[in-house]
Amino acid sequence: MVLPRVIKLIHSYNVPLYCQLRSASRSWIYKGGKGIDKGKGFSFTYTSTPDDKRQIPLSQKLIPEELESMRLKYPEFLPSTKPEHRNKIKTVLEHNDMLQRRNNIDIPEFYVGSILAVTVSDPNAAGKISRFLGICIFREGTGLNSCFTLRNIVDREGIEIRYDLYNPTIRSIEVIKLEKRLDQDLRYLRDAEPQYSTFPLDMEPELRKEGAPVPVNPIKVKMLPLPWSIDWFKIRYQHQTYGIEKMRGVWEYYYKRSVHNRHHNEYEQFDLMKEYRSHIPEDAQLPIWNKLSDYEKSTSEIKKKARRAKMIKR
Amino acid sequence: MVRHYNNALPRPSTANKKLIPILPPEVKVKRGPISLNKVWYRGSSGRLIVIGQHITQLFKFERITLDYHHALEVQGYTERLITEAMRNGDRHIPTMELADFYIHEKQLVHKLFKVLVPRYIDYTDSFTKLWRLSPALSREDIITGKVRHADKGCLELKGNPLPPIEPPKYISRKSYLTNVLLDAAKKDFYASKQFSDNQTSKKKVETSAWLENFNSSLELISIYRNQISDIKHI
Repeated sequence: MVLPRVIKLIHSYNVPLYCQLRSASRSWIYKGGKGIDKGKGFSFTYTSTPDDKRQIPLSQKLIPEELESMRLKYPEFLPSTKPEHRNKIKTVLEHNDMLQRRNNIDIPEFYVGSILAVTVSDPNAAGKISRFLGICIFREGTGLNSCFTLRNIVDREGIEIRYDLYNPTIRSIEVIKLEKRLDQDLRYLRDAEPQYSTFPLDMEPELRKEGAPVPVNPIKVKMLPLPWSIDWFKIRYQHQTYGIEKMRGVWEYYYKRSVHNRHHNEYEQFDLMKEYRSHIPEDAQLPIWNKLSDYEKSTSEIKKKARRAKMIKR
Repeated sequence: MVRHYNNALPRPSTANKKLIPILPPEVKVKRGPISLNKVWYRGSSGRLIVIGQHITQLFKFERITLDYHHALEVQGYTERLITEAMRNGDRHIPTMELADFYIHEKQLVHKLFKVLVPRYIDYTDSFTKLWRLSPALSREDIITGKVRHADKGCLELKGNPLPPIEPPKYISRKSYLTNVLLDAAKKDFYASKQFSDNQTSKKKVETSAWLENFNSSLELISIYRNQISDIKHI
């Protein structure tokens, strides 16, 4: 008869505080049939309130021009786009771990559309090392969860591998061709013609000058005839894709049907607050980039020497 | 053929394409979007039209009363629209599209770029202010519980020419010249012989002492006033 009492006690202590608070905070919302919905409350880790009062007027930009491109160069250092998943302490702890990992391995800058080669230590592979080369289709995740997918066609069969960027089993990441594409997402290559995603596994890396701007490849892909694995038309309507060649007589039909069938926000592009919540404001970005630029300056000379030593070995 | 149901992958959001300034702490952002449903404007696309109606009114009259939960939502949209107009100017196509969407009366687009943007160009705080008002109800409705109204709010643009809602701030009158002189007169009086003599005779006749003190203080004031007038003449 003693046991259940103990369990009850433990249970009551184990109920996290925020659950109780959340139920209390939602009580001010009108409940009932025809009540007025005052919006669903976000969790308490939502980090958008400024710590200090802003000193520069709102008409001027806070981030200098040197650090503007950092958000494209290191997208994994920004907190997540969903405000529910943001946490200030988590980001600080993860950034320290990520920089520690970057001391041990050279993680180069790369974008969606650039060609990479990754070597991983694998106990089941021959020689306990496996190397894969392919085009980077997609980048996702934030912090230590950030990952990227590589795609290539080997022996007439498409292969995609998703790597965690900060996985300790990764031995090296080589950039073989550094370039951008018109889209942030190239997963439509699955239903494109195979010539756009075939690369020889022993491809030689392209030499490029240090500090040169990253070129954009304005190629437009030819798609295979229907059926496709996924309806790319609908996605085209929501977030516009530029890298697909237009097919005659098909686009308008699907465009109309996608509007007709679903509850769709026609004016999503004008929703300013939705945009604000998905973005991370300048004031939150600036301390991150300041920290990273200091790290870059301290380790730039060491990494240069290491890269030159690699090139000489070949 | 392509399947008909929605089998779209989770796409990368269009996040962090822009550099957006943070909203000031007066604007409440720590919540999800509020649904402002009306009969003719439903869904998420109708909601933005309702917000546009409020924004046109706000730009026109610079102060409006509306439901409080409407005002909470409208406040953020106006601030973002003005900052976009400040950052990009009137030669930028997407911002003009934004202004065209949210402002239904087109003469007010000129007001945004020519009046409001120069007004707020040195601001570091919010451009708007929100006041909570009591719901306007008749007393019978409250007792019977017939009607359930939402709280009302008053939204206004800062720096407007209308008379202020806020009562004027209390300014201490200690620094006025007459008050300073009176304080000095009091000090002199309490230090004087007259006061000490009166205090000994206070126990005997209290009322008369009070009157004497008062009269003597008046005399002192008159003396000081004469002095001031003399100084002025010089």
